[in-house]
Amino acid sequence: MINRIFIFLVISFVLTLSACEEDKSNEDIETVESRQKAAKTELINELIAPADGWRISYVPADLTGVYTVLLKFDANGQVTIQSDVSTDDQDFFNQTIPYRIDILNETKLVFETYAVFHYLFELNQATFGGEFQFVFKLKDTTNNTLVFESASDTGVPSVITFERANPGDDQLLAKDVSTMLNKMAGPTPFGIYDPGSGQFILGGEPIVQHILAPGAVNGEDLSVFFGFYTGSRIVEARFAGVGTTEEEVLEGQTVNLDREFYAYSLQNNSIIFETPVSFSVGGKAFEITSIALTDFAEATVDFCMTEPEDGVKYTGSIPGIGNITMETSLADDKGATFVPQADDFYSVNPLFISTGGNGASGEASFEEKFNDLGGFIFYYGYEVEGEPLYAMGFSLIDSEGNSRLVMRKFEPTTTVGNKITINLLDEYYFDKTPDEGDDEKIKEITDELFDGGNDLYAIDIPIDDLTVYRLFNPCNFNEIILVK
Amino acid sequence: MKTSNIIFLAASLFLVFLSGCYPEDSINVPKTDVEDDLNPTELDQYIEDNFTKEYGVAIRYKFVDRYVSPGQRVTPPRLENVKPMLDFIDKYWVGPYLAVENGNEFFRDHVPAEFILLGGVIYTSRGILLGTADAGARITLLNVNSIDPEDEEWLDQQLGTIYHEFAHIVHQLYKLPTDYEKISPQGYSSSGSWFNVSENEAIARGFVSPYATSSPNEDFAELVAFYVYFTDFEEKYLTPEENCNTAECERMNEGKEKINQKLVAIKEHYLNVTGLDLDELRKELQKLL
Repeated sequence: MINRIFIFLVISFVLTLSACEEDKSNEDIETVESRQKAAKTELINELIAPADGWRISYVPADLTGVYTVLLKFDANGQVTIQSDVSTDDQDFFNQTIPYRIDILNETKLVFETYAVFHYLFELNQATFGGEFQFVFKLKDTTNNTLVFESASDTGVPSVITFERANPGDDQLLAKDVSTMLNKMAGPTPFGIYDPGSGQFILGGEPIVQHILAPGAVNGEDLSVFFGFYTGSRIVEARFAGVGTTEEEVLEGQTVNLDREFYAYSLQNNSIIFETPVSFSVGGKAFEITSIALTDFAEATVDFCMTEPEDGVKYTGSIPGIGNITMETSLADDKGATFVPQADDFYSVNPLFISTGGNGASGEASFEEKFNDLGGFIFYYGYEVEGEPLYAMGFSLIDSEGNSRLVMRKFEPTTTVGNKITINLLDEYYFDKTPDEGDDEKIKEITDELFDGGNDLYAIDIPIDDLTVYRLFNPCNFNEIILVK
Repeated sequence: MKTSNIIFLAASLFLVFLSGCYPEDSINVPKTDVEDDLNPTELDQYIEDNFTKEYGVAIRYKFVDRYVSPGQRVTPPRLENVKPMLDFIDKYWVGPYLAVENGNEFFRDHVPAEFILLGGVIYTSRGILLGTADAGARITLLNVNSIDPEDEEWLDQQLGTIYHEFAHIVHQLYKLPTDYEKISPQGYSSSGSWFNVSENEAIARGFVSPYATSSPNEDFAELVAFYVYFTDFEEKYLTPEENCNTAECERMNEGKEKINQKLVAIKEHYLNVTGLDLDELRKELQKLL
């Protein structure tokens, strides 16, 4: 019996050893887990290595400017993020949040709680192009950089390069200029929002700044109008001309700058354009490479005379041009071409009229009053016998295709540049027999459109082969889009 | 040597060798300054003590992309908003359940295993997503970065989500009340079209919201949530218009009657299968609003 047991044990022993021998031959093959852990460790060690952390010139998408971000990772899963992005509570200037390295199909750096990257990600209903998850691509040993790509870009992903920061790089963060630009304010159109689809069917406008450079055009004042998208760090070059006031500029010869977009970054106390804005005014060539802002003062934005808003007026300088001031404007040189037309009228689908001050289309509320709504008609100096020169209202079309007009008359009082002031009259025009109460209904609608003020600013909407204007009421933020 | 001793010795050797087959974890793992399992922060410890150990609930506030569907774009919460959000959940959701008879047992037995906190909202082609739940195992709360219990709109969104998603667990485990679907069978909207139903049309059909028309299960969850958190529930959804003399008004009154029938059935169902009195739960929550 003992012999049998002994033989059994010896065989088992040998088998066990041989099994171990087989495993031993695989010792050099690392498990998936250990390889993942090694990759994770390697990247973490790279991230925490630089004594002064990393610097990123972050460009979230093609049509955005540059954001400077400094990152200092530690070994405990925390990262301190400094940036030049200013918000009301300034919390993106310096934050410490947790980070993580994920390894599944790719090695990914995840900023785990909300910070400046998430703020940029969330802009424009999370379509802006910002990112807070970065896929690690390579370590560039030549430049000593780490190269990442945006994790959720659907097209060609944005490339983000981590450069080693230098001592004192935090002084480069243009926090003062960023804070100043964050105070930029003024009434700007929202665009038109269609509650039915939940989408904006027409975008809004940037805050336009009138940059005034005294004596820059052979002794006369240079005025340049830039639309600032401060969130995305883009300037839309509008127009330039000679003159001090908007009225003077619009009365003279203006140079349209074609609404070209220029991306910028913020450095020290300046707005730095990635490419210069070049143009000629009064026979003199200008090139704007940067705008230095030195100070700002509170100013009144009084486009709505009945309810002026608080705004700011900047002071600064432009290299090669000299000292400037910069303040909010609603001037638009192409908008100034919105003039009376005798042989035709302006019109639009009622969907393109916003009421209520939040950009929402007023179409549904108009339909509550007129269930056979056709188009919105705007007579502006329309010279047809038997019809009023100035009136606005609707064409109504019944189920049999018969149309009729329900309009309210107005008189234009003044036109300065692209500003049109009108007076609504308690007089109505119907081309056919009106329904009972039609006058009351059109009165209510037009009263709402001009509630709070009767100034409209005509702003050009560039659309191929069409002349389209946005009539913006700065008192109530309502808009009427009109097609010529 | 006795046979038993030989076997014991041999078996011991066998085990020693067998165990030697498993490599030590540390042998091939590169050393690092950082460990994967980092020391928990004060917040992590608070969650561990007050939610994980107390109720068996994991609170996830650090972003993990698998928490949302592919293509959904949303941010994590601000770190400083997490603790206030947990306090909110504790006060407005856990508290009322623990305060009512049988609520403590019900809550601990049925609370979902995971709570996901997200900072923003999710934009979809049908509007804004404010919260989701997955088969009773996970509740996802969005818009945490807008936390403000004094803001009625935000409060309604969060309470609506939490109580709605928790109500799903009841019908998932205990089914709907008998014949519940037969109270307003014609009112349910066709697949994917609930968002075309107006609020008044929903009431006229016998539902508390357009979303409730999407299915009997959603109808059940919406009605439970609205009843518990919506202060003016009776006035808006149950009390008929007096002196009704239009067809539309009569439709609304008929709809309210159907809502009332459903509510009676739901309250009875809750009492029977969970022991919870929804009137008491509502009373506790309303004390806080």
